[in-house]
Amino acid sequence: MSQEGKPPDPGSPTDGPAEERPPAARADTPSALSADAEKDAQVEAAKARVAAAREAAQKTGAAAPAAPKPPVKKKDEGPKPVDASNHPLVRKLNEKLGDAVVEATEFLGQLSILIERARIVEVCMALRDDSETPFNYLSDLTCVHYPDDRSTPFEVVYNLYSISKNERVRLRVATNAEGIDSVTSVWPAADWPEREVYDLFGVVFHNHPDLRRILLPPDWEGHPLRKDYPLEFVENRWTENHLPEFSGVQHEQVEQRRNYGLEILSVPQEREVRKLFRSGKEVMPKDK
Amino acid sequence: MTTDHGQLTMSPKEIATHYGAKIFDTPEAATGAGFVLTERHAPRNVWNKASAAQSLMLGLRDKKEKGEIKEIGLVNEPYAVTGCYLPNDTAAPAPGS
Repeated sequence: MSQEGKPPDPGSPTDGPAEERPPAARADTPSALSADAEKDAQVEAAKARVAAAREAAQKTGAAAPAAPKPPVKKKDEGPKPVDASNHPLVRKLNEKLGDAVVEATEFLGQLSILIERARIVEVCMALRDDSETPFNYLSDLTCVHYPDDRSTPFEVVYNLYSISKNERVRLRVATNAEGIDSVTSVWPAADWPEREVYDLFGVVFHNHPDLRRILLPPDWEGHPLRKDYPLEFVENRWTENHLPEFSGVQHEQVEQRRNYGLEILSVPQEREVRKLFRSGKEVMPKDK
Repeated sequence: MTTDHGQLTMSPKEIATHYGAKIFDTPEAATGAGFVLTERHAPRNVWNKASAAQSLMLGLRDKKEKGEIKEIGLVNEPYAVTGCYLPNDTAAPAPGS
């Protein structure tokens, strides 16, 4: 099978590319026939070598266990909030106001302080009038709803900024729907944000000069940013009472839009669409 | 000392499991198991569907805690969610009826 000891054959395919071979080797001559036989022999030899290599690989594989895979690198979990009880501002608040600070955390350089509900105005006043870092700008006032926290499901958040010192601090107050004291006496700019929180979350701000809804109609039912309020439009008493009836042309337009699958509830005056919804008919084609 | 509320994006099924609700694939399955259907929301995207499921679950959870109903459930269809509850035999009026 092997060609060991044989003189090199110029017609052999192992000798080099076809264009380097002499033209006589490609003709149908006795030397070409012997070349075919040799080629077959080489193919057989190659097959035998492959079979032997497979067998050897199987033997070694059975004898030695496979090398362990390199451990998968775990994804970094990222930074986490850390305790900030020793932050200078927190220490200062503790010295001034005693137990007003419930907890203080720092995350990526952002200081966040949870304040006792009854002490919020006091704390805000102290931060505003602080001689070193006067937080004289109420950057934002908002709220978060945690429905699983039954005693204090709402957290009112105050983002404060010190214009002169270029420092920020976030105050948080856990409360229920009974509400907390308004900070309009500290920063008059809190007026509208507190109305917005009242409108969308239903948190009451005591001592607010004009606490009423700011975005939704006064007789709207519910508070849309609560977790128990569905995101999508839901028929309610206000829409029944206030949205007008359709004219004949509008009926036709709605029907056309419905046929083309263009119907959306943000278009005003769609009482007909709501009727269709109530009757259980499909108005929008469903996503495939 | 840190507070971790662990808020993650949850599917309607996960929300129902979180509130200890039974999950049904069809309204017929729920009614067959003795549950009474309540509101049905058919939102047009997955986020609104999760929101609808959570609003249903929170409403039913409150009723369950008050003792008005025995058990809560959620019918999770491909394009809609429906709340359902198992009536309390001792309670006189069923909510939503």
